[in-house]
Amino acid sequence: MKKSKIVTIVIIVAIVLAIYLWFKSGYNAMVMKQEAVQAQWAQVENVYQRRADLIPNLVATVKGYAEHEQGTLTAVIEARAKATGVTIDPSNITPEQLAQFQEAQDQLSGALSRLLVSIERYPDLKANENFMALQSQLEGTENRITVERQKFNETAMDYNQYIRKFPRNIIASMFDFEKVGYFKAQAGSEVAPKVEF
Amino acid sequence: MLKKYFCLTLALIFAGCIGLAQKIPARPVPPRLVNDFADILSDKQERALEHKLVAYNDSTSTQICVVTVTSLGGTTSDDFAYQIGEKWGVGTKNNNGVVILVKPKTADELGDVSIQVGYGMEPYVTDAVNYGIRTKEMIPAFKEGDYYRGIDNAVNAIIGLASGAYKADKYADDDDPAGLIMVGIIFLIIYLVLRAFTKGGKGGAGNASFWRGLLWGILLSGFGRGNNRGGSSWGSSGGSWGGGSSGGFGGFGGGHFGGGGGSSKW
Repeated sequence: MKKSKIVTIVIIVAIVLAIYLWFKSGYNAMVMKQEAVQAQWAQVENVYQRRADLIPNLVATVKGYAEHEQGTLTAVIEARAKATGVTIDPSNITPEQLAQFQEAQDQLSGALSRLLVSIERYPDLKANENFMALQSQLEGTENRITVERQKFNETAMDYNQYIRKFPRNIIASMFDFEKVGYFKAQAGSEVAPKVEF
Repeated sequence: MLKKYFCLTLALIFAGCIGLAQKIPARPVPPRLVNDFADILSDKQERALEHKLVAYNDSTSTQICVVTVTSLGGTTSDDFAYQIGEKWGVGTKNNNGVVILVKPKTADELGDVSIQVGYGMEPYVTDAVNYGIRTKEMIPAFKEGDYYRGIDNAVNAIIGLASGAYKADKYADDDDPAGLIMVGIIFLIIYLVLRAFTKGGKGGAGNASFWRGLLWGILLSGFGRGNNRGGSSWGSSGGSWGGGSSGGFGGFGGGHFGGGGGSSKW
């Protein structure tokens, strides 16, 4: 009787310990993956901010040469204001919020590409050193945006897959680890904007 | 809603598969900094470039990798160069890598050149400077068909821009006071243990001298090793300082890229 009691206690302790260890490793891994997602989100915001910072300069340079492009310039400025207005709490990147963020940024991308297309009509501006430097910076920034978005999606997928798998999803739902959203391919981004003269 | 996510995930996975299918060349074995897959450089030019880049890597740890290809596998040159940088790990933990990708002009395709810089190089090779290097240093030479001169010009320009930005680790570690103190403390502890031991062993004779010898041996060899970093002339085991610098390229160091840089066609 005494022996079986000890065996029971040992088994219970072992089970409790096993559950504790499983919770601990699962929870800690989730925290780490969530941190990775947030760090990558900071990178995404960084590169978008970089683009927003370039725009006032670009607008000022274009203004001097292309006085007939007031409408296009205003559209860029407005889209920029809207895009910088949408921010996301990095600890809660829901798919809906991300979609909203992306929509605002994509509108800015659209306005910018329309501006760059209209600039093709102004050879003086295109030959301007200042403008060429700005354009190369803008090009590099768009590259960075593509890369950081891609990296964000990879990190987010890693995290989402981890928290959604059974039986870890039990831990995730107990401690409110929410699924994060993805960036989607831009609608129409597979078609390069047409330049017409 | 759930279906939407499912489709999205599928799309992402699919995109990932396409990404893998792109023809990013495998990391060269043995590692090389000049990879002339398109064969637009002569052997002599390749050696000269490789020598210059390896020497620069040895002194600064900055890795400039030159790759030429005949096809971009359906992606942009920027993306291709970025993927080479990220997958090969050009640069060190400072992310100080640069990838220069050249796709030569053919009868029915434009030439394409991209310079992608790692995160750590972005402050030195900015996008505007990068643009200047491509349009002023490279493309004029490429238009004359002189690929070597174009690439060499670009390499020289980047070397000039990034000079003093990073130091090779073996030099950077040289003045590391924490390391010196650690070596000193370990030396002191071992010395104290040794003294206690030799005192206690006085009565024992015989065996004690063996242990004493062993301990002194460990102590000396340990200190000899630490001494290579410390820089004093103590210790007998001698060090292999740096090593391998006269030989080939030591290998890529796992640098990361963030899409900085740009491309031009001609």
